[in-house]
Amino acid sequence: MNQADLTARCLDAALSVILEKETELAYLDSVAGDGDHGAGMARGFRAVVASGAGSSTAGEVLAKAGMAFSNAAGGSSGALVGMYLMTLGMNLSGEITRAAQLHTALLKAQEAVMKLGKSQAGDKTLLDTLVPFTTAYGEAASAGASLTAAWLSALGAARAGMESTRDMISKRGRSAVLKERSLGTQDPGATSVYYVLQAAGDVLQSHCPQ
Amino acid sequence: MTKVFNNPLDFREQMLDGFTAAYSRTIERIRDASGVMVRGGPTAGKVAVLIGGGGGHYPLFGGLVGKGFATGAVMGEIFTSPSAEQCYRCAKAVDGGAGIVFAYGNYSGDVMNFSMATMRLKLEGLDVRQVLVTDDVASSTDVDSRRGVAGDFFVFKVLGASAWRGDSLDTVEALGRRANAMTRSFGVAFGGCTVPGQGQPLFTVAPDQMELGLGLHGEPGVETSKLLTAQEVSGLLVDKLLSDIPRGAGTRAAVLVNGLGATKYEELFVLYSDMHRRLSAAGIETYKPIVGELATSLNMEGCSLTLMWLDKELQALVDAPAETPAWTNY
Repeated sequence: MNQADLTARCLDAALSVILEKETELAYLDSVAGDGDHGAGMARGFRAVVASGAGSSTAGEVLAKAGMAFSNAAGGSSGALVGMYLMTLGMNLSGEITRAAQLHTALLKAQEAVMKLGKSQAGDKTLLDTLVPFTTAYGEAASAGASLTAAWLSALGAARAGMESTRDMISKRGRSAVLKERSLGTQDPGATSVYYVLQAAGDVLQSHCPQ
Repeated sequence: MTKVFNNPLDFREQMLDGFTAAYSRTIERIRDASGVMVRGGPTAGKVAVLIGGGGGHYPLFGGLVGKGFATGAVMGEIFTSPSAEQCYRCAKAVDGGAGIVFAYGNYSGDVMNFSMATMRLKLEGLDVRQVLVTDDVASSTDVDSRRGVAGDFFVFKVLGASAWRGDSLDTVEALGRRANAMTRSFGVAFGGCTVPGQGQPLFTVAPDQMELGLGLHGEPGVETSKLLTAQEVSGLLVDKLLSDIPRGAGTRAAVLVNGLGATKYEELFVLYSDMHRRLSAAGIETYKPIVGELATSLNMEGCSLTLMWLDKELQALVDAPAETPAWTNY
């Protein structure tokens, strides 16, 4: 399978997992938000899947996906996840031959989200999943792991990051106004991003084990 | 509970469709975008004012588009900011070649999406300014971090009137900022609202209680109180605003007593009977008070009081004629 198709397959899996978890995401968001996080993510990934055809590289697939996501989802998640995918795509040109290439793109995408959302890890956002994921991925890649192996090994850090949001008080977005109300509940953005990373890992494992 | 809908996924589109069909005498749909603009499109040489935000707040945002008011509105899903792409498309549609002002309430999603659209338009050489509404005194002690609530109405009116009389982009922006700086709101809620298609209300308030300072999307306020009488509510709202008078304010203020959706006109008039007395007793000249639903939150029970402290110029812009689906000034 070529890399464009493989990337599209990962995005299909992202839509499936978001649809499967939509109720759980809605619940997490209802504690300190307006309960529409699952619906927004589903709206975004539906548009991503519909936009998939006609790209020749992984980067192109992701850049298009980012635009489609941000346009369809709206809201903060639309802007942030859309920006993430778009930046990731724009920083992956041609064929990915080394795991480190993806690490550079992951870092750029993460920085773009930090800048747009004016936030960082610890603020109870999707960055609490993304930042440890990217760090762990980078460490595995520089230790010589393949892209798939590095991705899979970083999921543990991503999960721990997601779970750490339970004990955080939100500093950004609508839930920030609610302060303590968000304490004890995992951040919906950190959660949906973890599910997407995990779903993409499953695809990589079955179609590109090396 | 919101009971009238088909597939909840189609709610925004079907709402927009009915809205434009009903008010084609004043507005028209922006093609290929989630928004509306003044009928016939922008006037060449005039500054365009594009307002916008999430849905569920009618007449915000589309209901305030028309001659003398906003040039256009970009409208998102229920309580979800419109995407940057939609802001961009609507901005292109309303551009009259004299610059664009984006005006919206200060919420993180709106800030991100409007700012991304602004960057893109600037790259294309358009002059775009942003005026954020920050009138809700309950949301923060830092004036610039406050969120926008019913004060949107006055700030948009000032921006729209200034643009329509042909002011320059700098002037329109400056007047919009001044209107925002002079506008304060405080609200209370008695019950939550339900997003179409969801089985549960977004939040609930116990029947014998009320929330002070609650936001338009159920963001909790400063405190929960036992349910007060109308006189006590009116006293509370007036006192909150009189303890947060902006620097430079005179003694005359435009007044909006706003219902959030399920608190009705008669109740608002009962409130206003007492508010009017209190404001007069405090030496404030109430200017053309408005009692009605100008910034709602679906079927939320609650109300707010907004004061825009007037000077001559702001007053003239309040007085200027306007014709929109929801608001007409002759």
